[in-house]
Parts: sequence; C-alpha cells; structure tokens
Amino acid sequence: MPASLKLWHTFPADSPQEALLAEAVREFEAARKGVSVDVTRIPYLQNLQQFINSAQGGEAPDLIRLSDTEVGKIGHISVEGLPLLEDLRPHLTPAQRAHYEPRSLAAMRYGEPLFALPVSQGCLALLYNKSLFDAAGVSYPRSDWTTADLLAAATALTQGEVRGISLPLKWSYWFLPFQWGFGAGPFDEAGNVTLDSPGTDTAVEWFLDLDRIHGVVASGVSLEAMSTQFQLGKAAMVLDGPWAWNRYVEAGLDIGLAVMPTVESTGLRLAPMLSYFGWGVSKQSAHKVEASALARWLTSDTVQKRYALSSNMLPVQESLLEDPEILANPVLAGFLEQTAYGRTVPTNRASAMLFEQLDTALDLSHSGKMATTEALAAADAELEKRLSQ
Amino acid sequence: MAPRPFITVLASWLLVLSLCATAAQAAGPNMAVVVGEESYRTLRIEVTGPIDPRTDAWEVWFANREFSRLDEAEFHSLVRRGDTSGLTRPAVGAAYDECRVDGDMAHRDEQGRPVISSQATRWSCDLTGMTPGQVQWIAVVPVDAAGTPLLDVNALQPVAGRTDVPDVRTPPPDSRPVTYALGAIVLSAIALLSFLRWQDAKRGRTRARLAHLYVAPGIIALAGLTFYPILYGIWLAFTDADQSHLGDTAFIGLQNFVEVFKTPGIWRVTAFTFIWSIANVTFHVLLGLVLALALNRPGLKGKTVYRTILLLPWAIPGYISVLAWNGMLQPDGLINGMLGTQIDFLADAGRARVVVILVNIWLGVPFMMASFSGALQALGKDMFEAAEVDGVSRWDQLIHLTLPNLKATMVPVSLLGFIWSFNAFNTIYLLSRGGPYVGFGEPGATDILVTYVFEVAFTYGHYGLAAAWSVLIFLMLVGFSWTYLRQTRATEAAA
Amino acid sequence: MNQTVAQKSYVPAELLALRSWLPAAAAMNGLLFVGEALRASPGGMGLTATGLLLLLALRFTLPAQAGAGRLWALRLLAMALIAVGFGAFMLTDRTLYDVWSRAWLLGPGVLVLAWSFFAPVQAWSTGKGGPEAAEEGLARNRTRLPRLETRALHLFLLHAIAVIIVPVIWIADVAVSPGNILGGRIGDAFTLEHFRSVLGGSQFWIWTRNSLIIAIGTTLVGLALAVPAGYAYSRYDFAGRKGSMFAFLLVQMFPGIIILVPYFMVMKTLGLLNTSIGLIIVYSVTALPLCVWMLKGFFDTVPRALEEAALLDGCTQLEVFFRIVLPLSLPAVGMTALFSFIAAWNEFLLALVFNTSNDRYTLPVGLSSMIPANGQLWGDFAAASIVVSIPVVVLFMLFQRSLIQGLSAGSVKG
Repeated sequence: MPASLKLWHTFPADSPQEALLAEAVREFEAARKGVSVDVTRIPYLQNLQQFINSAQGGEAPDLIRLSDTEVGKIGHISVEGLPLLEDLRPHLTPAQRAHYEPRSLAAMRYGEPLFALPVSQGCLALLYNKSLFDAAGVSYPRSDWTTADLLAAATALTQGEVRGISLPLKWSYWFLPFQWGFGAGPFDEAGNVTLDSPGTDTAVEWFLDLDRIHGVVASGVSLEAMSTQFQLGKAAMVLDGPWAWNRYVEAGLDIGLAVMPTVESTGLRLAPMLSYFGWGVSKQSAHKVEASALARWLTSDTVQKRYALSSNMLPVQESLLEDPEILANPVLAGFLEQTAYGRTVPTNRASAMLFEQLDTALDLSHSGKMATTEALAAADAELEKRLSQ
Repeated sequence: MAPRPFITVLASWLLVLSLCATAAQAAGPNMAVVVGEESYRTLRIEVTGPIDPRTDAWEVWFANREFSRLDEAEFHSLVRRGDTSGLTRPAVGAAYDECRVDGDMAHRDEQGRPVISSQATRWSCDLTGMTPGQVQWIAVVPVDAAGTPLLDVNALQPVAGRTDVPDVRTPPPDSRPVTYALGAIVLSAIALLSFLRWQDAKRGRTRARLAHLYVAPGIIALAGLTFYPILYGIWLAFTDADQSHLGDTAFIGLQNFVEVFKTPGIWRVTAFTFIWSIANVTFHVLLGLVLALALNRPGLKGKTVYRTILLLPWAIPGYISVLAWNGMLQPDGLINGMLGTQIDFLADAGRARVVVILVNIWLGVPFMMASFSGALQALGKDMFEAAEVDGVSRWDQLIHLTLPNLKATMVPVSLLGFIWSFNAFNTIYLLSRGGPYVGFGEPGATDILVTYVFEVAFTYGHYGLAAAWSVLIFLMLVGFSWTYLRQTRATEAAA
Repeated sequence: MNQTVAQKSYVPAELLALRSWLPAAAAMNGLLFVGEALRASPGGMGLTATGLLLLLALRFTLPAQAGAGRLWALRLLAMALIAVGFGAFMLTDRTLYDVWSRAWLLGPGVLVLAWSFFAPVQAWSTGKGGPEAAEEGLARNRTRLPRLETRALHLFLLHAIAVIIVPVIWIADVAVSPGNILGGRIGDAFTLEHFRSVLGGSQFWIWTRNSLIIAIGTTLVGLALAVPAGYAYSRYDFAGRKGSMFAFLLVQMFPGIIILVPYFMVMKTLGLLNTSIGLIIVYSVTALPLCVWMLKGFFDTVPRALEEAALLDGCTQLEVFFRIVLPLSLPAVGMTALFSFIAAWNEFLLALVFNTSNDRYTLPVGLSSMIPANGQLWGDFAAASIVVSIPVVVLFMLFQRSLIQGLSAGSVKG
C-alpha cells in the first residue's frame, strides 16, 4: 500500500546515530515498495512538547522516538477522548513481541496499552579514572565492593583539587540507586508512593553526607558540572551512563567501569534506574500498518546491534543480550551486567512527577532548610496530592 | 469496533471469497477451530474439544495465503496446556492479548504465555498482528511434550478469517471555527477602521485623511495573527481545559481564578515578579543611558569598538549566554575561581534572586544602549553648542536638554522592557529553573509568574488554570501600562 | 583681599577631577566589599572598608578653595590608603581579580600623592600665585580637563566592556577547547575542531540561508508595516488613535507560551506552516509594537515646520516623507531594522513550532537539534553561537557607519 510516513527523531544533527537511522529507513523503503519516509530531526529538549502541540493541531508525525519517561508524561493526555499514541498491542504477534526483553516492553506500557516498541536501554554505572587511582595508590573498584569500600576509596582519592566522586546531589536520578540499595524505593509493589519510608531517610543521609561530612563530593554540582569535573580529572569516580563513555575516552581519559557496590547494612546492591527509548506510532497516523512495521524494523535486532556497536546504546532484543559480538565489547558487556541489577519505576504519571518532589526534598534537606524526615514526608504528601488531582 | 458474530463473518466469507465451508472447520481429527469475533488487526480463534490428551501445547501459525505446510506460514504464538496451579490470571486488559478458557481469563506462565488447564474443553485466543483487510489463514497445531506435532504438518487445513475492523484515528481538529474567527476579526478590524475614518471625515478632520490607511496594514496583520490566540487563551481561563481531556472542555466560570488565589506562595511570586521587572527595567535604562551618553562624547576614540563589544550580549543567542553564566556561577566556575571561593550562587534563595536579576540586566543593557545611542546621535549638536556658549552646566544640559529629547525613545522602550521582563521566561528557566525550592507544591524562590505558569501548563497539564494565571498577568500588565502611558502622555501626537 | 574673576573660578584640573573620581572609587570599593563578603574574608572586608572610608576622607580633605592648604593631611591619607591597598593585596592569592580589585585602593592613593606634589596644585592650594597664574591655569585646564575626562571615560568603558566580555570569552574558550566541557581554565588549550564540525555540518548552511531570508524578510516587512503607522501616529490626530496604539502593546502582554496551540491553528488555517513567509509575518508582527512606538517617538522629534516648508515649496506628501522625514529619522529606522533583524535571527520557539521540516529550520532551531539527549556538545554549541552572532555584529558595524554618514549628510535638525 503506498504511504508516506512522517518520522521524528531526536538524534543530534550529523551524528552517527542519525546516519544509522537514515540507512535503516532506506532499507525499509527498499523492502516496501510505495512507502516513503520523511525523516525529521527534532531538538531533543523540545521533542515532547512539539509532539503534543502538533498532535493538538492535527499535524503529528506517524512515528516518534521517545523515552519511557516521556511515555509516562504523555500517557494520560487525551485528545477527543483518544490517547496521543497508538496502542501497539494489536500490531504484533506474540512471537514478534517475545523478541524484546520483557522489562523493556513493560516500560513502554502506560497502564494497559503498549505505546512504543523499545529500542535501547541505559543506566548508570561506576566509572573511574585509572590514572587518579594509580596516583593515589588506591586499587580499582571491584564488583564485591561495599559502600564502605567506596567511601574509603573516595576519601583516599580526595586530595587537593581532586574529589573522590562526582555526583549531582540534587538530582534524584542519581539518588535512586541509593534509595533502592538501602532497601527502600519510591513506590511499593502496589504503586503507592513510599518516599517517607525509613530506608529512604537513611539513604538520603548517607548520600548527602558524602558532601556534608566526608567532603568527597563537591557541593552544588550541576549535571553539566558533574561530567566536566570528571573529564577534567577533578573527580576520580562518577556515576554515568553508556552514553558518556565515548566522550570521556575522546577527552583522553583512561577510564574503567564497575558495577555499583553493595550497601553493607542491607546487603543489597545500589540499583540504578533503568531507562528506555522506544519508537511509538501516533494515534493520528493514517498508515498504522506501515508505521508499526517501520517501528518493528527500527527496533529489530539488526538495527539495534548497529546502534549498540557504534554508539554504546544498550540493546533490548533478547537475542542481542547473548550476542558474542556485543558481549565482546567491554563497555556494552559492563553496562549490560549493571542493568541486571537495575530497577525500574512504573511508566506512569506518578513517576513522571516523582523527580520534582524528590529533587525538592534533596535540596531542602541538603541546604538544611528542613530535616530529612520532614522533607521526605512533605514530598510524599505533595506527590500523593498531585496524583489525586 | 462492534464485535460481529462469527456467523456474519463466515457468511460474508462464503459470499465474497467462495470458499468451501470445510476450510473454516478443520484443524485436527477431533478438535474444531473457528474464527470468532474480530477487532483491529486481531482475529479471535476458538478451539473446541475434544482435545487430544497427549497435547502439551498448541502452536499457532498464520499466513496471508492458504497453506498446507508449516514452512509456508509464519509462527504466531504458543498456547501451553497443563497444570495451572501457582500461575496468575491477568485482569482483563492487563496482558498484551486476551486468551480465555471456558469463558474465563486464561492463566499465564512467567513469560506471559497462556496456559490452558488440562481439564478445559474449549479455549479462545485473540490473535494480534493480523494484516487488516486481507484474508489471513490460521492453523492451530497441537504438539506433545517432545514438541512433535500431533497432526500431519504437510497436509494442514488452515481456517481463514479476515478483519475489516477499521483503525481508530483521532479526528483532525476542526479548522472551520478558526477560519470564521479569523475572518470575523479581520473584517471587524477593517470595518472599525472605516468607521473611524468616516467619523473623522464627518468631523472635518481633513489632515488625517490618510492616517487610517497608514495604520491599517499593521493593525490588520496584528489583529489577524494574534487576536484569535489571545481571545482563545482568555476563554480557556474559564474552562476546565486539561491535558487529560483535550478537545472536550467545559465552561467552569471563575473556578480557575479561585484556584489561582489558593496557590501557596502566590503573593511571594507576584512580588518577586514586580521586583524582577522593575529592577531589570531600571538598570537596563539607567546603564543603557549612561553607556550611550559616555559613547556620545565627541572625539572619543575607539567608539565603534566599544559599541560593538557592548552589543555582544544582544547579538549572542540568549540561551547560550545564559548557559555560559550558569557555568560561570558553578561552585568551581569562573566567578568562584576569580574570588577564590566555592559558593553555590544558585543554591541560596537570596543570592539566586540577585544573580538571576544581574544576568538578565547583563542581557538587556545592550538593547537599551543601542536605542539611546540612536536617539542621541539624532539630536542636533547645535543645540548643545548653544547651551555650552550660554554657560549651561553639563548636568543641566543633561536634565533640561538631553533627557526631554530622549523621552520619546525612553517611554516606549522602558514600557516594552517592563512587559518583556515581566514575561521573560528564558533567563530564569535556563539559569535556575525557578529554584532553589522553597517548599513543596509552591513556586521556587526565583520563579516569576510566567515560569510558574509554564510549569502549571506543561508539567501538570492544567491548561485552564495556566490560562487563568495568564489572564491575571495580562490584566496586571494592562493596568500598569495604562497608568504609565497616562503619566507620560506618550500617546499624544507631536505638537 | 581682591581676587580676579579668573582667580575666583580657577581650580586645578587635577583637583576638579579628583572631586568626582574619589567618590567613584569609593563606590567601586563598596562593590568590591561585596566580593570580600562573599569570600568571607574578614581581613579583606576590613581593609576594603577602611580604604573606602579613606577615599571619602580624601575627598573631603581636598582643598576646597585656593589657599586652603591641607596638602600634608592629603598626603598622609593617601599614604595610608596606599598602605591599606598594599596590605589588602598581600592578603590575597594575587590573581588577576586581586590585582584589579586592589588597584582601586592603590591607584587613587598613588594618584592623589603624585598630584599633591604637582606644582600648580601646590601653588593653588597654598594660595601662592597671582592672577596671571590663575589665567595660565585656566588655559591649561581647557586642554587638561577634557583629557582627564576622556581618560576616566575610557576607564569606565573598559570596566563596562570587561563585564560584558568575560562571558563572551568564556564561550569562546569553550568553543576552542578540545572535548566538550563546560568550564576549565581559560586559554589552556586550543583547537578549531568545533568550528570545523559546525561549519562542515551538512545542515549549517541551510539553516543560515533560512535564517538570513527570514531575518531580512522580517526587517523589510516590519519596516513596511511600522513606518507608515509610526508616521501616522506622530503626525495625525485621528479617531481610534490612542486605542490602536495601545492595542499594539496589548498583544505583547499575554504570555505567549500558553497560546501556542491556537497560534499554531491560525498558522495552519492560513496555510503558513513550514513556510518562510509565515515566520516573516509572525516576526514582523511581534516586532511591530516596538517599531511603531519607537518610530512614532522619533518622528515626533522631527520638526513639523520643515515639512510644512517643503509642502509649500511644492513637494508632495510622499516626497516630503522620503526626502525629509525619513533621512532625519534614519537612526530610529536603523534601530528598528536592527531590532527586527536580531529578533528574527535569534527567535527559537515559534520557529520550532511552526516549522517541522528540517530544511526549513532556522539557526537557533538547528543549533538546538545538535544537542544529544545525554550530555551536551558544549564545544560545538559554543562555536556555533559565535558563528551565529557574527552576522549581527557585522550588521551593527555597518549600521553604525551608515548612521554616522547619514547624519552628517543631513544635519539640518535643530
């Protein structure tokens, strides 16, 4: 069936990822006679709002690349009683669906509907600067490290301008591993908000003490400052994702990768939050059969493998998780090992609104304006209030 | 998506495709498979016993054309048979597709595959992933525990089905109301101008003959493009418009405004908005004026260089310079490096407020300087020379000659400067995101009204509420501007 | 004692200058005190405050009239100031900032001390020198005073430039630093890789072309709409005048961000999505309020008598406008043109919302589409921003030149 598809992506201009996309789209067009695809690059930060605006104006693209967080943000939006994205469940056979790693598929569901097909995953892991470790005579992080080992190493590494570890203390994405590691979590099994749990309290104190008591983290580090610090050799360790690896290597750093340590008191490993990207189809699309076929192709093992090998994007196709070529790559293998310890937050409005409240609690607690317990209780109450509206 | 009884489907089948009736009814020696109700890209198959007791699972195969061997078809799914104890039954809609056993939801194994209890005699499954509008052939192959098919896989007799249930699309927004509104706005603008023109003619104001014609293009373009969105925004403030139900909004009167006034921190954020705007516009005008005057000194060397450099904050895209400031204000940034400190300027409410204002002053001075420079250059030099000869002091020249002549420039740029500052979104958003936090569920320390409105609209999706905030901002600005213009008499024509 | 007029009005230029410079230096130290407070350095705060007080004391110790003496007191205070400045300097790490901030104590001290030994100052303060000396001094002041003023002016402008240029240098440093980091020491490394990758990008020139078309189009359309309107508002009193002038402002007052969707619908209905002309019209209308008001204010200052005379000479309305009013208002026209151009050149949000086709992207939108999801290409981004601001700077320089020429060509106004 002849069709012209509009596709939006957020890969940077002239990036290798953009080139890979163009290649995959050409292959799709060649395989499906009569289908043409119009590829448009949208600035990443504006992607979601642009999609919402265009959808309200009846000009939404057929396909869009978006993260699980973004699915969580737009899942509840309804125009004329319909969601913005197509439920892709009828579009796949169970056999086709089984190719995707189950957690990644679940992350693309908002309640019941499946709003996108997962294409990549990511999470934080412990990166370290080998030369700084060597200079301080500290042995490299190992997978059997506990948080006490982490703190001891960070203390030993904090010398002069160098800090032991670079962490943006006001960003809850960096805090969540600690919350889970201390046996708590933002939500319980039933999805209730549990920010006021005792474990969270301990986790916040431990996390903020890295700056307040131990001084191994520079205070007031923003997201940008975090990677800059590490890149300039002003921090020996950092929690960062696979996306940052090449940047550090290109900057001439000799870096290593380790899974996050275990919390001594709970015996649980620090668990990074898993995040996903996927391809969704617009509810407005006039060519859903072709659009979903393209989404399947763009998330296929062939295409995912290219992205993994060229840009460290961790695959979510079951077959690739065992792929020898992927596992031969130490970065991919290391991060995939870390994903095994990763946790997810449900893809919903609660998670989309979690970060602001948790950020606020971290900020107020760090600045000493509120006691940690008090701040967490208030964050919990506020989030629940927002959700009930 | 009304489910059609399978009889109808079957009947249309027979008529349209003239298939033999047996095709729809043969799968195994004892088992019967029929195509049941359909939905978009989905056919339901119903399998009714007697079931071969050796059956451990059923493989479902399908193809776009009739097939008799498995290698001509595509594997669709596996339905297991066996003990269901310890397995869960998903709620309706919770699974990716629906399978039922004797009318109840089927159990699922840990991989999400349906498991049919060994006692069951009939089950049905939704087969997703069908091509709509095409005949799909489906074969259900029972296999034993070793995976061996229990029927001849080279003589399969698939059942056929077809789903024509259309895809549900969001209707495109109706653009007719917009067309009518635009037409009405433009026509009223023209009518109003003509009426005013006629009124003038009646009163005999002949000098103004062409005046309405001169202003007409500007007015019509302005009205045509911007009146509809603003009127729409005002209307929105009285509705319950929300992201969760767009295109279905109801009039709710003043409820949104009540909500606005109940927001904790509303007075604080309003006060800071005024402080922010007044501080900004004051320093923009003052510093712009001082710099313009300094650069207006006759015979000063390097004027062009100074002016060009002083223009840079205006020339460089705002978002990069604000990000640059953000970087410079970091604890290990340039400013702390210069002072030899480690201050987190954006962490403390008071300091963050001062800093956002300073950065915005930095951004806005060049525009004012350029405006005043232009105006100063146009002032006649003879006037000042005469004053000089008369022994008028510099200060008096400034107060009595320069400033009155600059008033025509100063009034509009300061007013617009105020309006722009009031609604200036980027500096705060990019520098501090409204932070640091003051408390939960209230605006941050450096939030101004418009950044908070943005959050209400786009983080929480309450469009109606955000529109109510916007209307209040609008009213504040209208009130302020009206007073300001009356005080300065700027709308008067030249004497 | 009988004094001549010259004797009465003569004050040495140096002392005149110090009268305004010393308070300025004191004010500057007030600002520097904030810096010391941020450092939480009690020594720095104390010494800066002492310096500030000494500067004020110096100001009031300056001989107020001829023969007032007090030179020794002045010298003592100046030496105290130098000592304070030196002490404050020794407290610091002697960075560039420290040198500069202490120079605001040492500089005035040294200057006062040196000038207190200057012969004319000494003579005047001690009351020596008769009417001839005063005449001579007045003559000297005529060249000396402007020169001192010019120097002060340069000093002031250099400070202004420093404040303006530090972030710009910072951006430039990011643009020429290898890797993609935000910050780092200025000037520690140099590379052109970011400029190469920006200028070598497949899209950069398309964005530039689109931006140029739209910015120039906006300038022209904006002027075409604003000039007649501004003229009418300035020259004629007609029904609906005030109301419509206010209406121009009104549309700027509603927060634009909330009405993007209806605006989008308007553009869609008019068939202006994904077109250059659409953005040109939108930007012209956005710039209209400022342009109309600014031009109106400017036309107000062009004397009507000139026009009336020309009309009597038989010129048509149009000729009068183009030959007399317009040339005289060139600075304002130029200003509004520059304003429209920059507004269109740097606008981001509407350019994004109304254009969803990559070959229609303008520079700001294109640049932001270079940002990856995780971590930013700061180097490329900074390099691109510099490249983007060059046309504006060039335009401004051209504009300044043509302005000056235009003005000297028709300086009839009085």
